[in-house]
Amino acid sequence: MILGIETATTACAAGLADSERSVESLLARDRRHVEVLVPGIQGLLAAWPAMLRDVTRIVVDYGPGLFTGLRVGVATARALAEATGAELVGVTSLEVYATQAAARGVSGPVVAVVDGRRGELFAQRFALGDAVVALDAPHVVRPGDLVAGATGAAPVTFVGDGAIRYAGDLAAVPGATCLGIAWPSPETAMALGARRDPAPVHPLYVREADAVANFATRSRP
Amino acid sequence: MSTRRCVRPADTVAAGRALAAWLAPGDVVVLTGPLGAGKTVFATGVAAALGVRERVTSPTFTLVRPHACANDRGIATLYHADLYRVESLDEVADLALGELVEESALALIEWGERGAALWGPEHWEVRFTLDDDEVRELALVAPPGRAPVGGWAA
Ligand SMILES: Nc1ncnc2c1ncn2[C@@H]1O[C@H](COP(=O)(O)OP(=O)(O)OP(=O)(O)O)[C@@H](O)[C@H]1O
Ligand SMILES: [Mg+2]
Repeated sequence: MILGIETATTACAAGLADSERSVESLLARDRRHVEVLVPGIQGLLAAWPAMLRDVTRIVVDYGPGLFTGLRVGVATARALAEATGAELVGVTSLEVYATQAAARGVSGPVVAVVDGRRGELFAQRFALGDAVVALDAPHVVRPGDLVAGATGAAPVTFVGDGAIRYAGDLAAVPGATCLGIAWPSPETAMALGARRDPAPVHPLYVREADAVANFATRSRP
Repeated sequence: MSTRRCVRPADTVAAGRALAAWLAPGDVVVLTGPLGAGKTVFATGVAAALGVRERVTSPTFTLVRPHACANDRGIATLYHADLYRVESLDEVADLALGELVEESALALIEWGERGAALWGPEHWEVRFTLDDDEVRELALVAPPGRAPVGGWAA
């Protein structure tokens, strides 16, 4: 059985799935990851009903997103995997959003957008057809620059919590649609993670790449 | 960008008080400039204006120090950080200062340019320069759309 953990936004969610059915549950909307995640997982297991030892795989959203949430989600996933021997698999918030868009019948160019806070978005481009194909890597961008850079011929769909907060800005792209989804779905994450090889997971903080360069070039007095 | 001349430490404290009047919960203020430029002195002015009771000193050895505030502006906590001794950016990212302040706090970050990419475009910056006569020039850069209404270049 698979356990899914979602902490990339201010919401905290979890889910369970096996070959026959899946459930997901919103545990809190308002940054209470520390408080609600473990009791929430216990509640899901009790309702299924199942035991923690029945979990053979843990799929965790490792970002990008709310760093203080991701730390809780990733640490919890690692600890549970360590304790139970379950396999650990990471999925990104952006690919989960893109896959949710595909599930809702969206095709063509999609930009998954997670609220990066402080006036920026975490974004990644996808092409949705028979499969969900990533066209670039997760990166940080200002909404205005994303709008200015949107030159494709086909109308684009923005999906994610970023498409809620910045719906007004993103609507400036001709023909664009905003598909606002407040948090990535654990059920979608588990479906993606079911087919992936286990690997070590660390929170994805895409600002670091830029910032490390900046750090290295600064000399100290 | 406007600059403000601070001849004595008390002028730099007053500059901190002046900036505090424009600050809101969620704001990040980056203080840049050489050692001894007056960044901590400035922070005492901001803290005083926000109703911090305890003494504000350099947080160099703790990286960040939270101060409880008493004001009617919705700012409950002032996080005062100093990145001078930070060895790697992971340490700065791990503080998640940008997220900590979101609800009812603000952050004052000495040597904050060392984490520049982490703050995003929406932050304040005060650049300290020192002339040969020890006079401080404080240049203020406001976040987009938040130009302070008069009063800085006093
Ligand atoms: N006009 C002035 N404004 C501020 N400080 C002044 C001024 N003139 C003299 N000083 C003195 O300069 C020193 C400034 O020290 P402060 O600790 O504020 O610097 P800092 O920029 O925080 O340094 P660091 O990078 O080491 O943290 C104080 O001792 C202060 O009394
Ligand atoms: Mg100092």
